[in-house]
Amino acid sequence: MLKEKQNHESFNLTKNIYTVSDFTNSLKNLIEEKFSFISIKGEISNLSQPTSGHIYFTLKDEKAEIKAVMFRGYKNNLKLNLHDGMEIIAVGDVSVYTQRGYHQLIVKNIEVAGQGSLFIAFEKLKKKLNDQGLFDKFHKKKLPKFPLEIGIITSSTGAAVEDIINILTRRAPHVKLNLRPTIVQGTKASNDIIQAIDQFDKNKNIELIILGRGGGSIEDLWCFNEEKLINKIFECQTPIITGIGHETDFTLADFASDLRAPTPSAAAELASISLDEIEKKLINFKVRFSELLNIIMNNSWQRLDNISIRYGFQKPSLLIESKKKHLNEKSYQLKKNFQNSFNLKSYHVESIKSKLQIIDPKLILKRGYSIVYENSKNKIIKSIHEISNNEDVYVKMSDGSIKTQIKKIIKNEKR
Amino acid sequence: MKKDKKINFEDSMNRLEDIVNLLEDQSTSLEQSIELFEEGMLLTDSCKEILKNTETRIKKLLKEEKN
Repeated sequence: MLKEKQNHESFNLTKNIYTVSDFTNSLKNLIEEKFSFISIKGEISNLSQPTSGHIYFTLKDEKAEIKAVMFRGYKNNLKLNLHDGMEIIAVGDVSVYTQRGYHQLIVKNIEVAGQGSLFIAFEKLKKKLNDQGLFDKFHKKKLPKFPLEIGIITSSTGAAVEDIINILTRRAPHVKLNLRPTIVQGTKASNDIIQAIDQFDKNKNIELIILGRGGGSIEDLWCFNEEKLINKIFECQTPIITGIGHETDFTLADFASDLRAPTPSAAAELASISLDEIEKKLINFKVRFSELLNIIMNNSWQRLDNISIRYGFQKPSLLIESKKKHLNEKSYQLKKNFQNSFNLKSYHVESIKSKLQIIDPKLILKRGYSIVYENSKNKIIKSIHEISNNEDVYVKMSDGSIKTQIKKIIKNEKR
Repeated sequence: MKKDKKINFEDSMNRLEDIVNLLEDQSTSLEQSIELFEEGMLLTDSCKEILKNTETRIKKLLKEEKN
């Protein structure tokens, strides 16, 4: 107790009290005097090159960092393309920025000191995973063309989540969105993201996952380069689109995902075909359908017409015509055949007639024969037994008849 | 031809082809011809009806689409 009181008193006894400005200026003088034209080795991060022409970055190693600026006037000395993760030796003066109360390195020249350790780690892991085939194209899953439910994994704050949700609700209002907020920076991030992926992958309704994060330094994005997360992305059955950082940022998650979008906004656009496009497609289908239907109808009509105009259907009379012709032919033949047989018969009759003429009784009478009839003239008497004595008979001659009486019947003598 | 059975356009068309070929064949008897002709006319009518109905349906569908 007493000791503490004494200290307190001794502090009060100090007569030299600084104002903040006085102290900072003293510090400034002290530091700037001591650290003029020094060389500091470290890794570039948070590199920024605004249009003012000045270059701002943080120079860092595993345990500490210092702000650095290279003013426009010194840029002519610069022979390198600076990028995050680059290990450099910065040459310049340390200065204290009194208004803000921090020190920074005013860089006058920069030399390369080899690749930064993070960069080397990145390249090493990239090669390892690539050799394992995790980045192979044939492992890439096909994205659903018309997803109805999308899972979004990103930080609940920041521009990325807003951009993704805005773009999806505008372009594809029919898509149901599921947001699983995660940590997207630091040592706990990868485990959180892995859990989120697992959760969405188990949900059968979710057809597509967007893994997004806004821009940041290589350190900020480092969780997306962690091996366990890359393996999870590779194992996930649901297709994943990554949109991490800016267009120039590549993380290993991008290599392992099914599609890499340059930014979170681009990921949202690639995730879903817009409703407008779907409508256009549908209209296109309708036009093609009606065209095709027309063609089918026309073809069908033509086919039916082609059959209908065949003569088999067109003129049924023709069907009978051929039958009629056939009938006529037959009847002509019939007539012809009849005529022939008639002619033959009549010839036959003629020949019989001439034969008959030879035995005509009239000719016989002319030769001197006579025919004896009964009195009634009805019956020719051929035998002496058919008449008796005193019976009247007629005798027919070639030029007349005689009526006479039988006087005596004389029988022929037998030989 | 069974009347009860729903007439299939494709089958009807194939039958019509057969019928017209038979009709144009001289050796087909008169009795058979007239029966085939009758069947052919009935089939042609039903085919036309199918096509007309289909056209009406298409028109209706396209109209509904416009509305």
